[in-house]
Amino acid sequence: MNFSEVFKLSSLLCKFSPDGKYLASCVQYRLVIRDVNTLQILQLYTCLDQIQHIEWSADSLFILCAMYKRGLVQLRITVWSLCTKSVSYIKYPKACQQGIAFTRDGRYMALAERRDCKDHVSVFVCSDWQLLRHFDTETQDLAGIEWAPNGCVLAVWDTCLEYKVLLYSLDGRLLSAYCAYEWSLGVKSVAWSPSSQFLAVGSYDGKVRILNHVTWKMITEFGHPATVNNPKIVVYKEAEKNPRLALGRLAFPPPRAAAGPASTTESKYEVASAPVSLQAVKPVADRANPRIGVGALAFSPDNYFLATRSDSVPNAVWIWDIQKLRLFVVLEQLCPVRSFQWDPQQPRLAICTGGSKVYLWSPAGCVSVQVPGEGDFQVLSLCWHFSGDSLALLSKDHFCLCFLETGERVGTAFGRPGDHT
Amino acid sequence: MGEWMTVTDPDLSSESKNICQYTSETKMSPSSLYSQQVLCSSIPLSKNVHSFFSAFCTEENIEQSISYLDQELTTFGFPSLYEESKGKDTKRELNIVAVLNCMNELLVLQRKNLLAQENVETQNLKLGSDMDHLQNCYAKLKEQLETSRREMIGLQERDRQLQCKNRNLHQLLKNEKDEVQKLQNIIASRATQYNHDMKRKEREYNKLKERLHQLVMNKKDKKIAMEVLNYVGRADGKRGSWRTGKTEASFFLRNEDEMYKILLNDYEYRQKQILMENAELKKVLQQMKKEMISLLSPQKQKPRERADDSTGTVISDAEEDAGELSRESMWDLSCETVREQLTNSIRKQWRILKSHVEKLDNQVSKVHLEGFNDEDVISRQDHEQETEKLELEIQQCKEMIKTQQQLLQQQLATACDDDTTSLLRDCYLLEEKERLKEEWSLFKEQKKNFEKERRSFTDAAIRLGLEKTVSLHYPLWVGFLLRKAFEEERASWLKQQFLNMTTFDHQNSENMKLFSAFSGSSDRDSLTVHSRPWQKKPHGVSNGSPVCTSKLTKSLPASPSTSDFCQTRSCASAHSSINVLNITPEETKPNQVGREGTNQKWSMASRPGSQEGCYSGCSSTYTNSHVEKDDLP
Repeated sequence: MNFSEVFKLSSLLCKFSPDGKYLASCVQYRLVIRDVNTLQILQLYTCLDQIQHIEWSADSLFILCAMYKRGLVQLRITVWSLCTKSVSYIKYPKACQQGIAFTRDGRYMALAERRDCKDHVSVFVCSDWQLLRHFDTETQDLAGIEWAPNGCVLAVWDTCLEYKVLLYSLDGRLLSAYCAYEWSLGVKSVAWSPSSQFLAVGSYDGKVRILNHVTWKMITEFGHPATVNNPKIVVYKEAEKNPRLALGRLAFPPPRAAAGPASTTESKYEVASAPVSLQAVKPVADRANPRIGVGALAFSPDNYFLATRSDSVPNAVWIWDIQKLRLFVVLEQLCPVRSFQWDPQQPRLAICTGGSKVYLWSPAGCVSVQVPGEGDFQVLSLCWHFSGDSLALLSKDHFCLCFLETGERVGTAFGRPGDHT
Repeated sequence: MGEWMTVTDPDLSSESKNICQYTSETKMSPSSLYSQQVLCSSIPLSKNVHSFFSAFCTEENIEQSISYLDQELTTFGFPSLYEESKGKDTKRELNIVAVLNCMNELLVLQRKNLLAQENVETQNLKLGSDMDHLQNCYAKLKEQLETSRREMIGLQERDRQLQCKNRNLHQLLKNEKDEVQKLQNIIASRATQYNHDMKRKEREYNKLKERLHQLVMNKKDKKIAMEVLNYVGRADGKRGSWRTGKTEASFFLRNEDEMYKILLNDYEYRQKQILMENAELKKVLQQMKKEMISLLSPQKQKPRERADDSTGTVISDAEEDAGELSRESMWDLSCETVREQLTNSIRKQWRILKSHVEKLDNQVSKVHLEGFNDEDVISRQDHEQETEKLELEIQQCKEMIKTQQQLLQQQLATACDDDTTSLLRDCYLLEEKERLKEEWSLFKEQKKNFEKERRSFTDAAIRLGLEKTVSLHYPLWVGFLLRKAFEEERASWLKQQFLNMTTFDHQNSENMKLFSAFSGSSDRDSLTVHSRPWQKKPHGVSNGSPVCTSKLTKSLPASPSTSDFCQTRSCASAHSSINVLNITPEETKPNQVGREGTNQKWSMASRPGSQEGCYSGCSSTYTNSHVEKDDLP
């Protein structure tokens, strides 16, 4: 595993181009385009103001930079054509968690709308921005919409005050409505499996419910208790490794590294034995947006695994076996998990916790990697190159690339669980 | 007379009271009886009579006394004290005989009364104690009743409390339910209120938005509006177009078509997947079926033979089905008939397989159970059967012995009516001695034969033991487990032989030898059993009155040496003959032997010392038997 040198970055704006050839990153008002392999700067654009958002075009030929400060009030969606002078306007868009969704093939766009205090969804054909379908949804306050990867089913979920998941066909028919419980806080996160076979719904009761695509009924639910009793489930616990003790000799005076901050000390995974209690935080009841429920969900690209994070057990990542519909592995980190992302090519999960380490899990085992470099490189976010060969690690002010050996496969690159015990 | 009456009245009345009390004693209450007793016991009768006479009759009033007594006695039905008057004027004379008779009668009456009194007293005591007992019982029961009543009250109280609690809990539950309902209502009302407010706010917000929009639009400030500066040329150089406006309807239709195409594709894809899955499952089913058929076909004959259920026909059905379905063309037809056929046949076969597996399971468990005995050549069951058979035989033999003994005893009992018969017996004895000698020689011969047989038996047993092989014809000889059974069998057989051979004449003193010879090898029990006949016989012989023992042999308890045997065999009847041992000749008077007497004798017999005397007469034969016993293997 190799790391590139560290480059400057601001606002965590760093994106691979869709074709995987370029890497765009922003430093204040400058946009830097690099070659992914050589990391040489190909282009450098300077904007008038600090860049707040960047977006690659689908053909990797264009890049969009947004500077909201210079914007103006827009109460509609405006679609500009880049090749003609045509401009389309879409009225009544709803400002919500996820009010706009494109199908994966880019053919259709679904938009959540709010008119006359009622929620509606409009489906547009992206080629000519014709309205294809328009229908109202049975929601109190629609919170998000998401297309299934095959672009035929639209999942719509209600605000967290009410547990409600609605499934619409592309032609606007209501396929199914699902409600797990009433009264308490409802849906927190939703994820489609890449095969469009499953819809995972994470909710505030700390459970993930898996709906199937045939009957749209629940197949199973995954709870996230703070104790893992089943001895079949492997629980990896991150543990600090003290190099001095490991070497068995004491240096005098103690070296600087050992005396440094805890984040720079190396860590490793240990396999914890059967009844494992995970570190859980007590939710504060009297504040809004309590830290409970399943806040993050992600299916592996091969549909075999589902990674979840329960916000009340912030240090742990649960990995579920979707074939057997049961818990497979639990990873417990020393710090709260910031984000995780699956390798687009294989079942390999990258996790960051805001420390100077990046963690990788695969069915063969898991490993914790210290990001080299001077000072503290606090990994706040990460994104995979689409080939799965490299990984961009983003901190507040810097970013670097992490190259994973393509020749060596996961099984050999990472330690097996037995190695740590 | 009138004066007299007055004078004697108290005494008389007391006496008459006594009498009437005696007569009515059974009806009297216990308390009055008790007082009566006290009264009677406090005044001794003799004294009473004496004082009565001293006061009643004096020199002067003899005549009056006599006449008074006469009068009294006649009223009580006694004959008159006077002689029959011959003349009217003549003075009646005192009839001494009558007086004496009266007196005697009175005395007898008195004695009777005393006896009755005694009885009544004892009865009274008994009744009193009964009464006490009953009173105690009553008190106890009353107490019990009281306690149970108290308990009941306590329980009732508890029940009441619990019911009360239950009611309270029910109330609480109801309250809670109401509370929940109320809260739900509150939540619902709040939610509607919230939604209403939200709508209101949203409307306000929309108005503001409109306003803002208008303001922004009114400015018409082009600089603020976003504009595309440089349009992107297409790769082919043409300018792209969005084809908006004009032919919207046709475009819309085109879009619709495309959308439906996409949806159709999706459904087709899914259908294809489902078909594939179906095909896979069918393949699996087919394979399973084939394997089942191949698995079951070697077994099929058995179920057919048994024909207890329809498995045979089912299998033939299955075979037909298999023939039909083996054609690949059938497979792809996913029509319902094929599906049904397939599933039905699979189901049938599965049933067969299941039953077969269950059968196998049963067999396996059986084999497992029997597995322990497989090493032994003879199974435990056979052993048990054999031992049972033997025990039955023993029982039969014992019963035979018993009946024989009974018959014998009857014979003897009838024979020994008199002591004089003993004289006659001597003549018989002589005759019998002659006969017995003959029999004895016969016996000896047989004994020799037995010895030979026995030796061969033991040899065979040893040989078999060494070879550890078993012949099914002689299962008794196999294994040390069976040794005892064998011995018992032998003993019983010998017994039978013995009984068959002889009429069980007790005077055949030589029998003993035979028995002891054969019983030697067996344990103590059998020794005692077989040594009995001779133990009994010497008494008879030495005393010259063997008959007398017969009456005493009524199943008396066994002597200590045989008690073990009783425990193990529990057939005391067979050993009754041994009890003859315990009775000394002097005590053998048939009519007078009561229960107590026999008991005493038995207890005496249990002491070895008392037996020695009896044994002395036969000590020589006894030792003989011991010697013979030692010789045995």
